[in-house]
Amino acid sequence: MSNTPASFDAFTALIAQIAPIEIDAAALTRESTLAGDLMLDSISLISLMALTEERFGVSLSDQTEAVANLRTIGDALDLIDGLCAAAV
Amino acid sequence: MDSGRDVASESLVSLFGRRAEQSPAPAAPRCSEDTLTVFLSDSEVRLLLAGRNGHCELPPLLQHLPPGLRQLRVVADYRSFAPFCSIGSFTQRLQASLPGARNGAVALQVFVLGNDVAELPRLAADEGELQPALDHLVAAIGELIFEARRRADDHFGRAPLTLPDEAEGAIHLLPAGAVAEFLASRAHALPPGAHLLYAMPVCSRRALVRAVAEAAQIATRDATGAMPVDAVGELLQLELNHACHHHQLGRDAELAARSDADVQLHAIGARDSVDWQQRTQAIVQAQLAAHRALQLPVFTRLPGLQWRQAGDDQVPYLRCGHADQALLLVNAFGLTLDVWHDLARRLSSQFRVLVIDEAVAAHDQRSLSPTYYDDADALPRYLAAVRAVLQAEGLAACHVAGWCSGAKYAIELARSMPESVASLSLFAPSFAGAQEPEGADSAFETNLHTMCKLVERMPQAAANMASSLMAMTAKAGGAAPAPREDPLGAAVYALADRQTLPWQQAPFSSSGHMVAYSRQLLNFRAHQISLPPAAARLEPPVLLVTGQMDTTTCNRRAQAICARLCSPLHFELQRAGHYFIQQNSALISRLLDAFVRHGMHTESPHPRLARVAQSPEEMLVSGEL
Repeated sequence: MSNTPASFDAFTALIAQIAPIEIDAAALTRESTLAGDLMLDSISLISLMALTEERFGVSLSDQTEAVANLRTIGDALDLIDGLCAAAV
Repeated sequence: MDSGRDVASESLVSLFGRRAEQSPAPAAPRCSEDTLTVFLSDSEVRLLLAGRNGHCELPPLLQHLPPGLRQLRVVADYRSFAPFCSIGSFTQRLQASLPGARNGAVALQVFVLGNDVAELPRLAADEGELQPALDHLVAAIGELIFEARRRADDHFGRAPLTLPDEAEGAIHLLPAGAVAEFLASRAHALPPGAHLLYAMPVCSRRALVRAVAEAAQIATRDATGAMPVDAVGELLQLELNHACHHHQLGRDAELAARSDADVQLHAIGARDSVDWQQRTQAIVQAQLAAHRALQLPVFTRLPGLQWRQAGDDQVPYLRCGHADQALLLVNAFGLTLDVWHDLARRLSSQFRVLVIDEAVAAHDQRSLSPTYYDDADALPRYLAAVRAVLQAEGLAACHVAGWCSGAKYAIELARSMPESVASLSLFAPSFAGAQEPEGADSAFETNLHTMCKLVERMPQAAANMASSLMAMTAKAGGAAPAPREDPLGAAVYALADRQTLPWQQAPFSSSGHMVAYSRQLLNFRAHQISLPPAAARLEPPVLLVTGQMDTTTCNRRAQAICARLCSPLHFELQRAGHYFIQQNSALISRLLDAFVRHGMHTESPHPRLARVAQSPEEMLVSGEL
């Protein structure tokens, strides 16, 4: 799966399920920060990662360091992209 | 013959002795043929003031004065009567009550100590021993510093401690030797009546704080218009003002006496007459060493802790202390008992501290304790366990203290067995999931709920989630926001510290823990506390304590629910987070002890514990309009 608008929309739809604040999907970009703009703490971030694994069919079991270093939506999409490509 | 000379400096301390009611001062009077010097304890002064019609109830010490006595010197602490009467008034009452003094046969001199005596142990230290007021203040200032450093060790590198201005006053202490010398060599030449002995300053507040900061190896600065006093500095000011007023380290007595024409004032001692620098260095260096030692408290290593069993079901529980009055601790589910360690240690001398924790009591700390919310029978099982423990201990009732999610179980205890709950203390209570219109789940509670629902739905994901969460919290733990986001540096008090961070991580340290914790949390949220009018109000007196900076749970909701359940006595701990039972255990133990003794009339033991009025009427009574 490439880093496409579809995957962007799919990922941001997951954010809406776990974010503690109302999300304006139209305002989100790759540069939107997970902790700052979306106010995701570590608990909500791992919830997001669990939903990501389920939605995109990837495993983050070997990516704990990468997950801990995620800063933006773009970082997350790139990680998902890499895992999907490796799985192909 | 003047007996004043037989009052030696060591006798001053030994004669005053301990202030505690349990250990009344062994005030053996020193006397010679015609002069007697008597040191009165606080309780003896209160007895004196309890008299009627201007007369005092004389303590045994003063009821039978030696025949031939010509001069009587009574020495008392200003603080012991200042809330009730002036120095002149106190002297007049004593004069009127002493037969010999009334008819002029005995010349009465009343010497009031207007400041604390430097060497006199009177305040409870960390280990229960009494320590002098200056040592207590130095330790308190040091604790403010290390309270911040435990959260962010580099805090003062980014936000140096604000020093008090030189004009903010000094620390005044009476050297014991100087007081004794005065009584021995100068008192005989003074007229009868009231005399105030007040201390010259031994150091400025600024010098004392700077010395503490240097010993703690932190940076300091002066407050400026661009960079005013920050959050830590505000607490420091609070502590200094409290100590100077409450522990007689300031000029309260001197200033009051200057407006009383019946009182003669005498300055005692000199600057640098007390070796405060060395004492400061020793106290703070010990605190620094403890800070560097990184020792985490372990509940099961409390001195004197016993593992016991109760009833036919062999309910396992822990006991620490042997006092007649018992205190049952109700922990939060999923968290270690270690969070109660310091508080239990402080309280175990006054209370028999009891805890029911199936995992700890069974010496099995590999799993989360199933005591609370593990299954549908957890609550009835717990209530039955408490009954069994009370019976095993021979107790008709106990005091109960619940923290965080433990508040719901504590409330159910008070509701189901009100005759067995003498009082209820709720610390940072969580009512996450409650259907109370006021307040809402905190962001943390909301996110935690989302995560736990996911774990319940996808338990196979728990392992990945646990390892990711551990990595993230290890990366972020203790990092304070940059100064531009938090100019007063108050956010440091919302951070986990080195002790609380591992406890927060424990429920997520493995997939097994995560699955168990998620189950417990969902059961906890489903547990709704019945509120009036659907259920009766709570009968026992209730103490509610919330942390001003608590971001884990919603204080407003806790206050609203407790107000419907009862009329709690509510205190808010300034600059405190969710874990204040551990991080501020000294203050909490003092408050809880006072609440058990004074109930709903409990006053705050320290200005950092601010009373929260429950209603406009209560604000009227307290005069805060």
